[in-house]
Formats: sequence, C-alpha cells, structure tokens
Amino acid sequence: MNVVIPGNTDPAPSVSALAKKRLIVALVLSAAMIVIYFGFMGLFAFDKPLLGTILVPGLSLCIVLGPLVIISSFALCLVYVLWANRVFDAGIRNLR
Amino acid sequence: MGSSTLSIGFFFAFMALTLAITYWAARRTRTTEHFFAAGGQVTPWQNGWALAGDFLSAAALLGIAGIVTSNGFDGMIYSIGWLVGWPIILFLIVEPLRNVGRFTFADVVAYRLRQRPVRLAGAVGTLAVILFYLIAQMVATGSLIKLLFGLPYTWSVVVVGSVMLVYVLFGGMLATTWVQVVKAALLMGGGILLAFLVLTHFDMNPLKLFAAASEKYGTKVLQPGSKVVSGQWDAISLGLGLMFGTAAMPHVLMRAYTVKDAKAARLSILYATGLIGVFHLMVFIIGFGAMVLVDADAVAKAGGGGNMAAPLLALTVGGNAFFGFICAVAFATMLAVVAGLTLSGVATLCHDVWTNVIRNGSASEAEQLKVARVATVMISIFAIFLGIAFEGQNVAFMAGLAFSIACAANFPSLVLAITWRRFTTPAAVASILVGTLSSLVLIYLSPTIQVDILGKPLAAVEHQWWFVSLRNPAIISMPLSFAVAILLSLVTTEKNANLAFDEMQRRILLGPVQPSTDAQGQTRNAA
Repeated sequence: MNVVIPGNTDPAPSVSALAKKRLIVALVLSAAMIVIYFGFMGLFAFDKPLLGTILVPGLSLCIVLGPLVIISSFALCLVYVLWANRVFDAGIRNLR
Repeated sequence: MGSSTLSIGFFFAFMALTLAITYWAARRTRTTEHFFAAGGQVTPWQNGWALAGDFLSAAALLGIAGIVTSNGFDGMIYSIGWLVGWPIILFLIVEPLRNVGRFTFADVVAYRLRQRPVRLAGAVGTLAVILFYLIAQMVATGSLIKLLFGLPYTWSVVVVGSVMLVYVLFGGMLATTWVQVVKAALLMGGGILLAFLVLTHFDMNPLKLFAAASEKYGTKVLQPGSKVVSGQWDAISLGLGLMFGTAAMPHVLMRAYTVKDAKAARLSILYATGLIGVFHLMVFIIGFGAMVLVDADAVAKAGGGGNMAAPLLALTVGGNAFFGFICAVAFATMLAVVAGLTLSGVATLCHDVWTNVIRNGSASEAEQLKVARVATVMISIFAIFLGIAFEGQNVAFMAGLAFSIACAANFPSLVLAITWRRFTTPAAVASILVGTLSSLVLIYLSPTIQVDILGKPLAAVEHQWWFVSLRNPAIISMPLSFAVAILLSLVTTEKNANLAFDEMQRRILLGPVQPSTDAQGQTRNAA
C-alpha cells in the first residue's frame, strides 16, 4: 500500500481514497442509467398495454418515456462531467 | 433520372473533399502514434463529432427510419438501445482507458496481466466483433447502392472497400477522424433539415404528426408491438447487448486515444452522447414523417426492407436535389463507418498481435508502420471479398452478433481489469474466449440461423434439445463470461497482477507518469 511514485511524496492511501470516490460516483450513475433503461425495457417486455396507454390524441406513454430515456442519458452524462470537472479534477490536482 | 445524377454528383463532391483531407493527413502521419491516435491532438469537440460519425451507421438513418415507418414506436427500441451504452462508457470506461492504454482496449486488460495470452485472446474477441460488423456494413452498402444509384452490387462493394483503403492506408487516424467529422455534420444537417421539412407540414408540432399517423394507421403505431422483438426475455437480452455492446465496441473505444488527456476523452463522450441522442430523436420524426407523407406501403414496395423510407421522404418533401443529397449522405456514412472499423482492426493486428505478441513489445517505429499498412491492405481486401460473398444475407443478425460479442467478450474483462484487484490472466483469457464462443454458438442454435438462414421450418427445430429460442444471446453469454472471469480469478492467484493494481489505480487517476508507456511495459514484462 505504501507505493511512492518518484517525484511525489504523497503516499498511496489518498490515491485509493480518490479512486474509491470516483468509483462510487461512477457506479451510482451507472446504476441509475441501468435502472432507467431496463425499467423502460422491462415495461416494453412485460407490460405492453401500460406502455401503450394513450394520454392525448397523438401521444402515448411510450412516446413520452422513450425520448425521456434518451434525454436522461445525456443528463446523467452531464452530471458526471460537471462533478468530474469540479470535484474530481480538483482532487487530482491536489494529489500531483 | 435527374435525382440519380445529382446523388452521384453529391457523392463525388464528398469523395473529393475527403480525399483532399486524406492527402493533407498523409503528410502528417509519420509515427504509429499518428497512425493510430492522430498524435493525440484531436479536440474533444472534434472527437465528439467523430465518435458520432463512427457510431451512426447507415442503419441509424435508413434502418431505424424504415422500422419506424413500418412498425411505428417499436423502431425507437433500437434508437434508445444504441444510446444508453454511452453513459456507461463515460462513467466506467473512458478515463481509465485513456490513462492506462495506448491504442487498443487490450492495452488496459493486459496492463497488469501476462501480455501475450491476454492480448491474443483480446485480438480474437476484437477481430470477431469487427469482422461481423464490417460484413454487415459491406453487405448493406452493396445492396443500398444498388437500390439508390443502380450501380451493380459487386462494384459498389469494391468502390467502398477501395476508398476506405485509401483513407486508412494514407491518412490513418487523422484522415479517418476528419472523414467522420464531415460525414457526421452532413448526416446531422441532412437529418435536421428532413425532420424540419416534415414538421412544417404539421405546424411544427410533433404531436400533430403522431396524431395524423394514428388516424391513418390506428393507435397501434403509437404503442409497443411485438413485430420488432418477439419474446419478452428476447427484448431484455437485446437491451443488454445494445447497452453493454456499445460500451465495448473496439472502434469506439479506440477514439479515447485521439485526444490529449482523460478530461478531453470524458468531454468527447458527453458531446457524442448529445449528438447521437438528438439524431435519434430526429430519426423518429423522419420515420413517422415517411409513414404519413410517403405512405408505409409505398416505402415497403420500394424494396430494401424499408430502408428507402428516409430517401423517399426526402424526395417527397424536398424534391430531387434533396433525395440526391440524402442518398449521397447514406453512401458517405457507410464509407466512414467501414474506415473506422478497419482502423481498429488494423490497430489490433499491428499493435496487439504483431508488436506485443510476436515481437514481444520491441518492434521499431518503421516496422510497426509497415505492418500496419500491410494489415490495412489485408483487411480491406478481406472485407471486399466477404462483402461480395455474403450478398443477399440478412445483415441485421451480423450487426447484432457484433454487439453481442462485444458485450460478452470485451465488456466483462475490461471492467474487471479496471476495478477488481484479484482479476487474473486465466480469468481474462477465459472470459474473452467464453464470451465470443458462447455468442457464436447461441446465435447458431437460434431461429436467426436455423430458420432465417438455413431455412428449416420452426416447427422442426423448436423441440430439439439444443434449440435456443432467444435471437439475442447477451442475456446468457454476458453473465456466463462474468461468471467464468470471477470463478477463475477466485481459484487462481497472480501475485504480480495483485501488486500492480495500486500502480494501475494511481495511473488511472493521474495518467502516465512518464510519456513513454512502452518503457514501463518492458520492465513489467521482465519482472
């Protein structure tokens, strides 16, 4: 655990702490994406009538949810990038 | 016909522009770093466009629009599936990949394991993915060009193969990147214009478009059906394959190396996700537009399995010139995608197999470039040959197979290599090989091959003990690959791999300590 990289006196524990922090954020966001997507696919596979509910003429539940899955993919990416640019990159700068 | 002359005119303009780019790039491609990674000098914004260009094949515009036109909402299942893998790449894969690897994702899997076996297994998985995807693209190209321009099938395959050879051989990653950027811009521009022209017929309100569609064909077009994916578990399995297959596609992962650092790689994935998402939302409008304005039967009659939906819609709402433009964009799209695929195949053969397995990591720069160029010619000739040999085959299953293999062979080993200290060489090798083989076997035993390709009646095979009713194997092959990897890691121990985990963690965060990654690779091999 006490690996020291030449030119850097910082011991390894802070590296693994930051690595762990990034992994947790990454796993939570991945889980969110998986829940959203497979929630949608689960409805598609197992409850087509519900997904096919017509809300107003020209609009069914799946036509609302489908684009929402697409938009939420981008939104989750944006959350990660904002977190990484602000918090994570600052953490890395402290390690260097 | 005027429209055909216009298409050919637009297409030649695209070729002239991209060949000029290749000429410009060729003078800047002197090292393997330039050949495979454009010297790491692509900006995140450019790389985002190039990633979108690499990923949006003709299937995205023509195929999905066609499925939406004939099946309504169900086409969106593919659009969504092809997008949700991108956040996974961003969260779990791209930064470690960029900081640890050099040209291919096998760099990362092999980093703290024994180089030769892991790289060889990785090459098997990668080449299988690329091969199936390349065949699918070549066959689709041949049949579409025949349909769009009236050029004979064989000739269109030869033309596409030869032009892609020129891009990759002379311009390497730099030319391929710019070809992708130009193509993605044309595709997005054409798609936005087409969707816009459709909406002008409906007061710019998509709901009026959907309402018109349901008036004409019934509300079923707005509801999920069962024509596109039949079984319940098949739908889930398709979803797994699309999501995690996308996250492990070699030609997509390779783009992590074209930018300056991990932060730039992270940003390029964000941009790509946005571009691909917007594009898929437009394809949905385009598909419904063709359904209402062109008529679903007319699209089906035009041939090509519904693929003519977008071009015919362009003809209806924009006239001959726009039809020509959309046809040329479709051709350009296929050209660019096969170039990207070829380059990642070349990187695997040259960097993983030749340099790191055959030459044990010590090939000179000049030798690597020579091998890369020979491999480019070989893969191009092979692709042309296979494209011609597979004429008339169902291409959807080959593309699906490519995603399944990527998802079962590449994804588990990549994720475990990055996150799990106990991961060992035998586990990595077995996981990749089991993932590849089980995908191939399951597809072979499924209705896709037994019924669609071999032409056996379903009743004759469905009660056989070996029959697999799933058309999409990911739900079995991916967990199998993970299970093999975890089990073998637990029963084997690899002291070096375990010890090097901390070093890799540090490197995942901080990037390469020294500019030369090879020097480190050498010392680790010797130790």
